[in-house]
Amino acid sequence: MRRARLAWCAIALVLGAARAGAADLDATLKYLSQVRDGDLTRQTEFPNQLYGHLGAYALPYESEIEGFFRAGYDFGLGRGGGDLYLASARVPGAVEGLDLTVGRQWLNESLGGALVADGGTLRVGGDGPLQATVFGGVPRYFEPTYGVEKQSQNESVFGGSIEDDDFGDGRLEVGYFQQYRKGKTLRQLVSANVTQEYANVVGRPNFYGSFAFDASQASVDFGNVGVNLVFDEMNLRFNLEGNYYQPQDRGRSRPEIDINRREDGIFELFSVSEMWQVRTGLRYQVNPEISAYADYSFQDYASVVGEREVGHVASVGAVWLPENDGLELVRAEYYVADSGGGNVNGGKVLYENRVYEQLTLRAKLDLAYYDKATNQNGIAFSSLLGVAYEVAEGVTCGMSLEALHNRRFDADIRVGFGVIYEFGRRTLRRRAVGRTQS
Amino acid sequence: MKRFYALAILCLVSIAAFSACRKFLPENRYLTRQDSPRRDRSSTADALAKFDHRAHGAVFAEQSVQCVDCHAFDLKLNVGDGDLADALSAHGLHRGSEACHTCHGPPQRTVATAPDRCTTCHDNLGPIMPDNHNGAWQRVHGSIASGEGQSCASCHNQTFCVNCHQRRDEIQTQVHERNFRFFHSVEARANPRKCGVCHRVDFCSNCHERSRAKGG
Repeated sequence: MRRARLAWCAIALVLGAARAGAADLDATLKYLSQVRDGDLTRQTEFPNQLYGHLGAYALPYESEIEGFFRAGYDFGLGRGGGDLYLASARVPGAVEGLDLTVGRQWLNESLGGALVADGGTLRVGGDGPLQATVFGGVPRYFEPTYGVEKQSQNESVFGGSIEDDDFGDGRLEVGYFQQYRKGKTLRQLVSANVTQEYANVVGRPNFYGSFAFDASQASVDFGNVGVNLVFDEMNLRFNLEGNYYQPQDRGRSRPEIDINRREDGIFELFSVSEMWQVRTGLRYQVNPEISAYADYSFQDYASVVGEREVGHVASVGAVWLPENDGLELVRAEYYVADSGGGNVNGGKVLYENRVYEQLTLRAKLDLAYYDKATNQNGIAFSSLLGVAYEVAEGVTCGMSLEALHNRRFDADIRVGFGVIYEFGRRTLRRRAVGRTQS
Repeated sequence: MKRFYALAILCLVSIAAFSACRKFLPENRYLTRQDSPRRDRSSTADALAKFDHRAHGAVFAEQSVQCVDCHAFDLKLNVGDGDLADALSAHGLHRGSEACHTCHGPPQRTVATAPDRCTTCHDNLGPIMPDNHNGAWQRVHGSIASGEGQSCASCHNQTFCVNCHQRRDEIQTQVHERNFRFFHSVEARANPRKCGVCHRVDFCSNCHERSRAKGG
């Protein structure tokens, strides 16, 4: 109930701002529904979800308000719930050089990880090359998906960073991130992040690197070095990077027997010591219509049972854009993974068609063979056929049919419905572009 | 099983039919717009089309921006024909994005108050997409985004990040395909750190404990 009230508050805030003379509104309401047989519940499930993104921009002092929520109810299982992902206000122009964001916001600062938190972020420095940021808040998690919420969320984070956008041929940021749980320090990260780009050197190399030291554990939490290369004449793009991680507590506790550690990253479940990773990817544009890509990553870590675990994940694929106008897309990919958990080989094909102005067609096929360490093996096949039609300006209705074959179901048929309503800035822009075309 | 094969065949037939229609029914409105910016994926014409000279008048005067700062000529067009004046004016712009990006967007920015988000002017982000947004970008973007969040924010709003990292969707597939749940342990044990970017331990416990309780 509390979340529902928060969601309605966010909507009221945005609509109120609009009535008060907001120059720029942007909103998307997406209703999705599906009828299926539940593979865990073994009942007919009928989930209905409403996702809403509401934004008001160009308010006084260049302010912005942004909200994003989910509200849903399953008529088959008779239960529902909701999430308020974002409800924040940004004020970049009230005081020159200060940019303030308050409320529930996306927080990805000082290498502390990608979080949503209730709090505030203040940036100082305006448009100059030197900027400082301070932030703080209470992290919010939106799991579990399939059950009742039982996480303790008694956490808080705070920190700051100083950024120099004019550092050599790139930028440098040094930061601090502290995380508490139930009054105890969980992490104290002292971090640095640097990028250097050499636009006049062959391959236009863009080097990047990050490093975080956890003072509370007296250990290196994270290290990363990578390079992006672009060879325009060869139509080739290449990326190579190496990573190093350590679990927060270096294996001193086991999360699966400590219910208070359910909020921890999944890394803690598997590893007791450091993990090394090398990954690489390349993309080659054969011609304007066809491009090919390949990715590979290698991981090595010590598992909770004291053995070294090695993992390989790779994919290779091609994208075809007939006539290079973006109205049709065909993507085919082969993927493979191999680890202590077993191995999987699979292939998938995606086709999208937007040739007809109000109509979108999408079809997907995915076939995989897996052989797991738990002696489970088999074939999983999924297919989807979806059609969407724009019935009015900004209103799109869609329907999808999925057929799945897997260990749970010999043949699982799912029928989905959806309505998307967009209004405001995005719709008006499309209209404006349409006028210039006709 | 028959229904399953029927739908798979229906998928393939639909793909073939829609592709073929493009060749045999070229009268639809999209395909007749040969010169539209939407057809040309390498064009930034949408941004230019959005420029409003009158809306910029006050700030140009305030910042002492002269005609020659944007145009390759220094005279006022007074031809009495708005469309012709617009066409001549656009034709005389300095080449490239210099005319706009002198004020909008770092690092060349000279007018501090000019909005710097790419989406202020560009609807079609394809042509201005950074070089690194290719190939394995989706897999490695975290390494860049964790240190350059402000750079991401010039084109993407918060919802863009939250939509994949936090939004839970049991109806549509967003990041993982439907089949993934049947062999997720293989990738999880290959790279457990990657799961933790979006999921917490609770996500595992919730299903695995339930199936254990059922003796599964």
